[in-house]
Amino acid sequence: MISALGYVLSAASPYWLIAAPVALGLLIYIYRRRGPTREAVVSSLFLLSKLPEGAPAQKRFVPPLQFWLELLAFIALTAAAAKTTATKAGKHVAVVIDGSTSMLTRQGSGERRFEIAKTSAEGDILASPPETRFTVYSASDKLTPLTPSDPVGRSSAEKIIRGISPTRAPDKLPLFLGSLLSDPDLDAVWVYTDHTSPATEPRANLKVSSATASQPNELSNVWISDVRAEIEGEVTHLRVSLRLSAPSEKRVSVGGTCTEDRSHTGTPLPSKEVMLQPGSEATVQLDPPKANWTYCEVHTTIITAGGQDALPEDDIGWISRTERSKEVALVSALSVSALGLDRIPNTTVVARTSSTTPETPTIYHRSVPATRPSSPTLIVFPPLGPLPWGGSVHESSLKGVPITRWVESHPTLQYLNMPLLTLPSLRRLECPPGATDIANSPEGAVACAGEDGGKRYFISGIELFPFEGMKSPSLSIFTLNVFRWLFRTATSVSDQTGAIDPPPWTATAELINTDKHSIEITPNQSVHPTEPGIIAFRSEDGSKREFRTYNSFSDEESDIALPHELSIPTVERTASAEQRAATLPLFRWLGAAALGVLLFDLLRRVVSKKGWRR
Amino acid sequence: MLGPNILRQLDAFSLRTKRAVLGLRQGAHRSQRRGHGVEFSEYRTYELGDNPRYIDWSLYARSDKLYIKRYLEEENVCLFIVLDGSPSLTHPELRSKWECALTLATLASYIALASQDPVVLSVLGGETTAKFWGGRAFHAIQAFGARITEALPAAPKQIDLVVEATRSAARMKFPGICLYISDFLYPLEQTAKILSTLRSRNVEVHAVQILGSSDVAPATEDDAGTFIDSELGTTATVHLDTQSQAHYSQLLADHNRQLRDYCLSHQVQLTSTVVTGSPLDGAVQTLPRMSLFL
Repeated sequence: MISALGYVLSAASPYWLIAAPVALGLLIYIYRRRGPTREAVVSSLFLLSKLPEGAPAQKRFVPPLQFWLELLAFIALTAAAAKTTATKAGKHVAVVIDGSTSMLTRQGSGERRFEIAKTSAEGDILASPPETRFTVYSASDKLTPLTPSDPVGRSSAEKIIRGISPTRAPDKLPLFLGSLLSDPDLDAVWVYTDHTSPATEPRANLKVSSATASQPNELSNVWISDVRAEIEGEVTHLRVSLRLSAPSEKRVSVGGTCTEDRSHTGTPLPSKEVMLQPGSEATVQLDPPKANWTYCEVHTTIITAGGQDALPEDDIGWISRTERSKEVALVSALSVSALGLDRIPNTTVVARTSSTTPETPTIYHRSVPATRPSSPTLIVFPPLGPLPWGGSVHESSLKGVPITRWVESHPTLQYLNMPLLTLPSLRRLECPPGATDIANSPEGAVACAGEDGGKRYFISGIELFPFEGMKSPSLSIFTLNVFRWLFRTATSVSDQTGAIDPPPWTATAELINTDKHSIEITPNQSVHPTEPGIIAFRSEDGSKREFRTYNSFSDEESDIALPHELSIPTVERTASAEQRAATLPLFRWLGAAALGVLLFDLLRRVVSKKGWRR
Repeated sequence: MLGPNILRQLDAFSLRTKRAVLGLRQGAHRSQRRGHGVEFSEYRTYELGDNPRYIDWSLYARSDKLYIKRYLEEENVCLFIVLDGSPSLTHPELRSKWECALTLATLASYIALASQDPVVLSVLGGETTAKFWGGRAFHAIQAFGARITEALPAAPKQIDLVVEATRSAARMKFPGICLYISDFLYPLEQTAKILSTLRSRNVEVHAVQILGSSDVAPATEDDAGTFIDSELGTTATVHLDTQSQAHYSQLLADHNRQLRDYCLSHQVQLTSTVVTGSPLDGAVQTLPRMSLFL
């Protein structure tokens, strides 16, 4: 074994190395027998022949370049035959710092668990042998290597650890531990976390350092575990779910601020107080004063004297409201703009062919679907003949007929004065089984509303759209009622998400959080916020905007009284894997190098137009 | 072959003779003959048969004797260029020496022909002698040089330079200037015979020694090698270490010194050059160092 350049060279079949000196001796013998290899034409030997005796060619062995090339090839081949391997000197240690939310908890000393873990890791690194190499990872919901591709030395590792910041993501450390322990390149894994060491004997190559210096049940923490919005017409209620981890019951207050994006004015919500039992959950309702809020921030605080919150980062929750327009398909011979459907609020109407499978709500104008409705379906002025799921359409002989009978309670007839509605032309309907004839003329049904397989449908014997000059307000209200009943284009509240896909029209995106500082996020890519807040997406001209919420609610992270014993996966490292981890197969490269040297020599001879022997 | 810059340099040169020679035609060099030149030479007593128009009547008025005025004649001079055509210059691996020698001969011919001096070019061992005269002769010389280069033997060929020099000297029918170009890498006795043969034709002999880089240093590294004589084809295996190389350099210096001493004592102008770069550059750099050109 030879140590060089931080590697230990060893040979699996060292007897092959004997071939190297044998080859050296043989080569010298052959080259001495072969004599001088250099030939040169000189003008005359007249002067050379006058050189004194005693300088014969065989006096000293001065090998040519070819000798060295052949010797190099022989040595490479013998080293390859001996299966020479190189092993890095010093151990390779993976240092894993838990960077999850729970590591932000302030211990009794006021120091965060994350800082305790970093200090502990730095101490261990400095105490390790100088040749030890480190790969530093930050672990939260993903394992992030913080060192370059190659392991670093002690001082570099210490610098990297000093610069690590915690994340606001949940903890998935046990998942990563399995892959690290099975990594053949690693000799040991050092974990610095707030999990406690397992009761069972940990693996020899694993060291777990717990950052929970004081007992967790001495600390108090209240956190928001969920924020939901309930919208009832113009009235909105925010329901904030709270939980407490503390040695005793605590009184907490809940407040918040709701902001309207256009005016940028935040309206504080009246705070409420509630008494929380340790481990219990309570829901507090907050009432935003205005219905047109865009996003709200809610927070909670322990107000009981002496109950300092050990983890204030989880005391904030966000919720946003987004006006999302519904997409409705149109099957018609006429275009969307010709029918006036491009001006319907909160709805985007897209022209489709009848052959496409209707997965989205669909309007069939002067046509009928081929099958039963698989999505909310509106059929306007259908062609004569049977309907696909029963009922039929007939020609009406009357012109300018009034509505004589209607179901006043039906949502589609809300705010309508039916006697005012006079129809220039209509199709008499025979409603499908189960459908209600909600409006009737003297000849029969004019409109049918029903539900088939959980999907609502509405069949109108009259033209709903104003392209035929029917610009009556009653017909417009009737149309909007039908749309609302069928397609329910209501305001939605966005949910908490992890990675957020921006809308296709996004030009800019920014993160709005409590500190009111905006963070630019690359648009048109999946956005991964690092802090809870509101992600505001805006189009280039500012006409379109959309808000999404990012919260990092995690009861496991926030419940500091929860026992966190680190579960270590059972991973077996085979001997061959360990061998692979430690060694570099030099013999493969040496074989290739020998081949390369011989090829170079051959090429050199071809170029210089010399034979193989001379 | 020759660019404008080189031709401009050559135009600045002219052939210089150290002594008065007998030329064939009117030229730019001082002749041994007296006649009708512009430079006054001497007075001679009038003899019967002299043309009375050459009588100096003013001198007759002063001295009451008849004298004839004589003037220095100016005639051309013939440049004999003798090239060593032995394999020590013409061997393919030593060809740069030959190219330098041929280029030097061409440049000298250009200078001579520019002043209406005839050029006779002969190659020892080449069995070729050609005379050039007149305005278009320079192109003929270039073609001649290319022709004899093509006709050079590829295999080693031993040449008796003394015999060849004697044969070449026999073609020198009238006095002139002889430019002998060789590497002079043969015994001094042989050199003496060659130069004596040339001098015996009453010509002013100039010698140019052209050496190649392999002549100066046969081995560039501490190496054993087999050296092949370009003329005889014989081989010698020599280990040229640093000490041997220094010894060889000393031998070459001694040989050149003896050659120089011989030339000095026998009124032969010797110029030595070593071809390291291109043959044309070697020839152009050698030209100003030769006392043949002014």
